[in-house]
Amino acid sequence: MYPHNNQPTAAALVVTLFLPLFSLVLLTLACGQKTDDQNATEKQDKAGAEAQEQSSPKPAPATGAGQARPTAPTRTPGVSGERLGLGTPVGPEVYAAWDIDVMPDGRGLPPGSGTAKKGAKLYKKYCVACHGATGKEGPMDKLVGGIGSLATASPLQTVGSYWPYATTLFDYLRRSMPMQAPQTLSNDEIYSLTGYVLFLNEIVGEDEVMNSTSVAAVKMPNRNGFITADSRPDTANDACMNDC
Amino acid sequence: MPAPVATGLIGMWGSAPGDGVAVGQADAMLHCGGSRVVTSGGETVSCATMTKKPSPSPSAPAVSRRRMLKAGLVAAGSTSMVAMAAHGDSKKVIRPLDVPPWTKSEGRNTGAAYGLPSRYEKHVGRMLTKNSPTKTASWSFTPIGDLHGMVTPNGLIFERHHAGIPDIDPAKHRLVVHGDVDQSLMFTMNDLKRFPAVSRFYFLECSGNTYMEWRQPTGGTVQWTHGLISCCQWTGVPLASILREAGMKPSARWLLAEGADGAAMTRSIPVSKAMDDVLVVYAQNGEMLRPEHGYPLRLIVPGWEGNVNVKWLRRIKLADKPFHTRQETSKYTDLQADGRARQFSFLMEAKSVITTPSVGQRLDSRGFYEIRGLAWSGLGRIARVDVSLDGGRNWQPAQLDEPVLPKCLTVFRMPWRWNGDRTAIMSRAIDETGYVQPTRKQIVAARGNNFWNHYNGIQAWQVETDGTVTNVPA
Repeated sequence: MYPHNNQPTAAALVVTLFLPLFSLVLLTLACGQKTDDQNATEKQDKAGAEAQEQSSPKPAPATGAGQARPTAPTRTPGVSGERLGLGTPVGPEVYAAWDIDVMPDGRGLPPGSGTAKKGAKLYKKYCVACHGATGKEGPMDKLVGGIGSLATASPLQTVGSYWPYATTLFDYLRRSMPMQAPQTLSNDEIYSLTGYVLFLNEIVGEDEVMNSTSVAAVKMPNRNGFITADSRPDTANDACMNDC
Repeated sequence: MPAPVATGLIGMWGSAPGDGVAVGQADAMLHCGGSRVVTSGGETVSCATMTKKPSPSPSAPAVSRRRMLKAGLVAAGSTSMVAMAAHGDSKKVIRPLDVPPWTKSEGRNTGAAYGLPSRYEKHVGRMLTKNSPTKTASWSFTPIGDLHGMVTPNGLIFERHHAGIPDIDPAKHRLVVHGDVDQSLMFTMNDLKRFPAVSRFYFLECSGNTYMEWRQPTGGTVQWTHGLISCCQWTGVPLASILREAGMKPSARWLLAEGADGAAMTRSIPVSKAMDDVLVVYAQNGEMLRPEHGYPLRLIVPGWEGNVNVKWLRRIKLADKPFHTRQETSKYTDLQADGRARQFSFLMEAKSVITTPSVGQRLDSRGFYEIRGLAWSGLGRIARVDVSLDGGRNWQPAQLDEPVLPKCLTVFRMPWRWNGDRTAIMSRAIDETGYVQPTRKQIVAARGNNFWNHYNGIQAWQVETDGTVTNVPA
């Protein structure tokens, strides 16, 4: 990895031709090599900071010495300074087939359209074995029902009762379903299946057109049911030691 | 269970606990008249004379096993024995030591390309859940009650898959980084291995680990109750290094990590975490990742729920907002009693469990034992583990094995003399932030009973007077 393999040859040449200078040159070469290694070490210091700390419970030598142990690691690992030039620059035409994610505001929804009516046939063909005739039977995830059940002792978390965004349904159907042959259906078919699962949940009509604007516009019943800030720690055990 | 099958006599003599065979009946030593025994799967025995002689030592676990079967305490899968006979308490006849055949013969050949555990360890294996209707979208548990130290062997790391295990050719695998970056980049595996590499120990825990204990003790083994945890030394590249190559735009606040499996599993992760300690790894415990753990490339997100550690990583997309994928909306969210759910609750808080003694094990007699267990925290290092030997009334600090690393399994130990009484034992972890592992009651009071994930309550085991161990309310 470090460039010092040619040095014996260079040194031999020096010995033959410039014997009086031998010691001096060899010293220079040795110093040069040492400097290379030091540079490499310095470059990796930040990347290796946590690794060093992990490798020994004692303070790491040199750079690690004297550093206080952090209470919660917040170091930024990685190579500092300039880019390494690794990887190949590519454009969307290269990764288009993988770029299939969809966001709640509709970003990523592809051209195409479908309806629940068309989706009914597809559902029978691809979905019914795992999700049941009406989406309530299983054996895999129940897709339908449960609206109003979330605050009860028997919550039923389905697409209708729980999922906050219809875009998630499109995204998941397109990337992962049907289970035995994911990413084989057309965008039109995915739009139709999205519509059908929403129709079974009485969220859209049977003939309502599902496309890149309408899916993002669907208001899911549990849209506001999520808290995104982590409130933990939400317990406070006191570590009592005696007669607790 | 994909337990490795060693060359030998499995099925004839070496039936291990877990096979459903009473060990004592099959337990014997094989005596061969001079020639070597080279067999496979118990089918061919190229040995001239062969006799079965009862083996003196392993009869104790055999008895334990039968008793446990009778008592209905053996859960499906691995069950280990605590065959710790104490001095002067054995009613067994002690015979003069024999010189066994393995001492009077040459062993098997050197040079197996990949070594496997002894055939006598066949009972140590992962256990598939029975709670999933498929074997592809399923999970399996690490036998933590049978393991030693802080590192989980590669073949025993718990699994969670959403569309089975893909068979990925590393020469064809690519990682694409795009979205809110200066330059979209594509990396081959060779590209990634050219980056400065780091190797770090981190635990990996499924957010659903121990969820079954939320409502009441299940009676399961520690493999069942706490086996969705493992710990490895992971080797790879800091994600920060890769992101630096692409150059993030100021708008980039979240990233989508996507797998190349049939689920194309996706999770959104804040950029702040990515720049802190997230790794893109290709190796675990010194060798390339196993297929079931993301070969050839996966994400390791230290201290955060297992699901975000996306396996078979193929794509990272930077964006201003989270993507609200199916996993992070419908699955890995925490439903509170009021019907609202917590989302993006990534952290795995401090937790501990006693692995020895635990359900499925049995103490043979009164006297000395070492209580052993594991503790971990997604916030950093374990500062202390307390153990109670009286059902939580009094506690004392346990010894911690070095090294004690942040976001890593830490082994704790406590010497103990069992007096034969019924004894409820439990452990309580405290991490370096001062967070104390809560009781089940405290968790339920804060979150209700409809949660599935992030359960880290104190676990109690009860050693009964006959030495068996049960799972009881803490």
